[in-house]
Amino acid sequence: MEKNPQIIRLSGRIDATTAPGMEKELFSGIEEGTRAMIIDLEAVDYMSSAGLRVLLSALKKMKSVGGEVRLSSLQPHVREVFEMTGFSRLFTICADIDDAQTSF
Amino acid sequence: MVFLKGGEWEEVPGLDGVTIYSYIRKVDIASSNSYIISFCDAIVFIDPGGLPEQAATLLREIELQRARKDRPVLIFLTHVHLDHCLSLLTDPGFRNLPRQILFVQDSGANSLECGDRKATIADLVELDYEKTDVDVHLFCGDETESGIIIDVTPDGEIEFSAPDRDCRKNIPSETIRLENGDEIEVYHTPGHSPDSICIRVGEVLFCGDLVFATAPGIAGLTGWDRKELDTTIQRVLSLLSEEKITVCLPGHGRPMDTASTVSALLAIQKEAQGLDGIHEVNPEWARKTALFGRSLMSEVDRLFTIIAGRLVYVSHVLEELEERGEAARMEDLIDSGLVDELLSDFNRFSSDLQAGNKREIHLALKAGQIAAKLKRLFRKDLLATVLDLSLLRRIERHLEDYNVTFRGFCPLARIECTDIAISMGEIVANVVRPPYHDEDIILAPDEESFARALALRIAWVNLFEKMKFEYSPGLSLPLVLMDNERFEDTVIFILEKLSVAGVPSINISSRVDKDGVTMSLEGVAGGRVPLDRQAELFARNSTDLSGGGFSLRSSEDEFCIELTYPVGETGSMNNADAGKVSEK
Repeated sequence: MEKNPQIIRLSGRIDATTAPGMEKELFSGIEEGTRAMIIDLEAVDYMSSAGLRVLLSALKKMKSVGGEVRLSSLQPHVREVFEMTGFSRLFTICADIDDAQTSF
Repeated sequence: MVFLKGGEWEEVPGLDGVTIYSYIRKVDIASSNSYIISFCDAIVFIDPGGLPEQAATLLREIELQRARKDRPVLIFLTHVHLDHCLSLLTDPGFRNLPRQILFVQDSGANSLECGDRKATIADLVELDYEKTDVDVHLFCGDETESGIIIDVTPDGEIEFSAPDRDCRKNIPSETIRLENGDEIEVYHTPGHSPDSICIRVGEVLFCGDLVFATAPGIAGLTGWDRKELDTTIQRVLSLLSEEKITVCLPGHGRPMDTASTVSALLAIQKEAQGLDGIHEVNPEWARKTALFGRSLMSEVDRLFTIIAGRLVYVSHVLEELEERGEAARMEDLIDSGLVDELLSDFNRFSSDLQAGNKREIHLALKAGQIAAKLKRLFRKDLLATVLDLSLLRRIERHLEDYNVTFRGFCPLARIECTDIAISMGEIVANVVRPPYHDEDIILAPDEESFARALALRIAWVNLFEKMKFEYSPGLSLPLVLMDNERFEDTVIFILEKLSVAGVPSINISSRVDKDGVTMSLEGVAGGRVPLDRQAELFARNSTDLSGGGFSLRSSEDEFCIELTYPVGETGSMNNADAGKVSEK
């Protein structure tokens, strides 16, 4: 497994307006060869279903090339959305970036 | 059929050589439509509106007309709400127009002259204006004096003539007559406001805000009068049937033909019948409604995100299981992209309010608009085939509650004598009970039933698998007065919040005292915030609507949430058989 995973830090609201930009960022990392990715959500204070959709697409794309994704530092609102939608069953969620790095 | 496109000079239907420039805006309360009519001997200007860019365009068109032929400018206000006249009151360009004559219905004119903030809704939209003199007070006398003729000379001189008894109409009217005989007829049409008028030029009727008189957030404005509105609608319907009027130009939005206007007025007349007792739309109403709207929309946002996210999750798992047909069906159950856009739009609006760029009345109206659109997108019958009914019921209730509040009434609560111990016991049991049976999957008669049963199973998320409930209902609790469904929704909301906050166990108990029966939810906080400020506000409102009182005490170590309901009048004892329910 890759020693130094790519860390992508997202911030603010991830909704219908901002999700396309996030998708571009996540996908370009995978297309450039990243096979271990940490998506840091510490500065994300809101996530809508559009954000969940993009994260799931990135996860599927990463899995299709044999890579792995970790999510780290979820804020209470985002954690709630993950737990209540079932998304917490799909992703490996880590307490912080250090945890995420050692989990690969 | 004659259509006016707006944004250019067009012939006025029914009048040779008279042209109109229509400035048509989308419907909002920032500014009205505006209209300029170029007669041979005068320029008539109806409702200058409330926005600077609109004022600049209109002033330019008036100046061009005056450059072609210098004439007096007769300014009419369909009423004195500031969205129709703020520019006139504040823009020096309008105030300095030479030979202008301002015509306003008498009570509206008095309001402008004394700086009345309620009648002009200046208090509601939080804007200021200077007191302004009005040249001609229309409809000064009672209805028997209807029919007055006001002659305007090319120099801008005014002369009043006695009513012509033979020309009396069913609707109070006055006529402004120009040098060459052209006429502008005005009708007093109170209801939306006491000073509302409609104006007729040729085959065109300028009807102000009459067609919006029952809209939520509009009906109930200061001066709104249901009975007068009813009379006005009957009179305008008669006018439309008796006179040759082919186009109605409203104060907001697109032109309407006569048939559409008649349909709209009949619908308004019917709707108005249900509006007796409506709350006055004033700054206090706007503040409370905006606050309620923000709190409800935040919860609606959370629930829609859960619904849409859960459908994405179920669809994904079904795809992995190669159940592509059912996976695709999940994606079609709701237009989550549009829901997302609407909620983002509301959030931006809310941020604008916090930044001081919007007013509370704007947010109250915006929430009403978004709630109505969400309601249309929400197909409970379809979603119920796969999702938790409690989620769906709560969304439906919140949207309806806002709609009712926005409409000017109180949300409906069915307060009944209820056995709160049994209610709480059912909630505790139901939140951990799966909504499916394994037999439905095993014994599915066909592929479709199998896929549906599978989807239902995947969609169920047990939020409480890591939370331990201890419920001690207590014995011999009296019946309480509450709305049982609202109580259930409130408790489930609180339990969800406590679960996702990571609270490991909840102890639910009851007590009876002079205030009634109190259900206490206690637990170890462990440094967590059990309910954040917004969740606490929502829980408080929700408990209030269920007929109870809410309190929260919390420290670093522990918390206690209490819901208290008054004892029912019968005071019957119950709960004799209720034992201790424990769920893990």
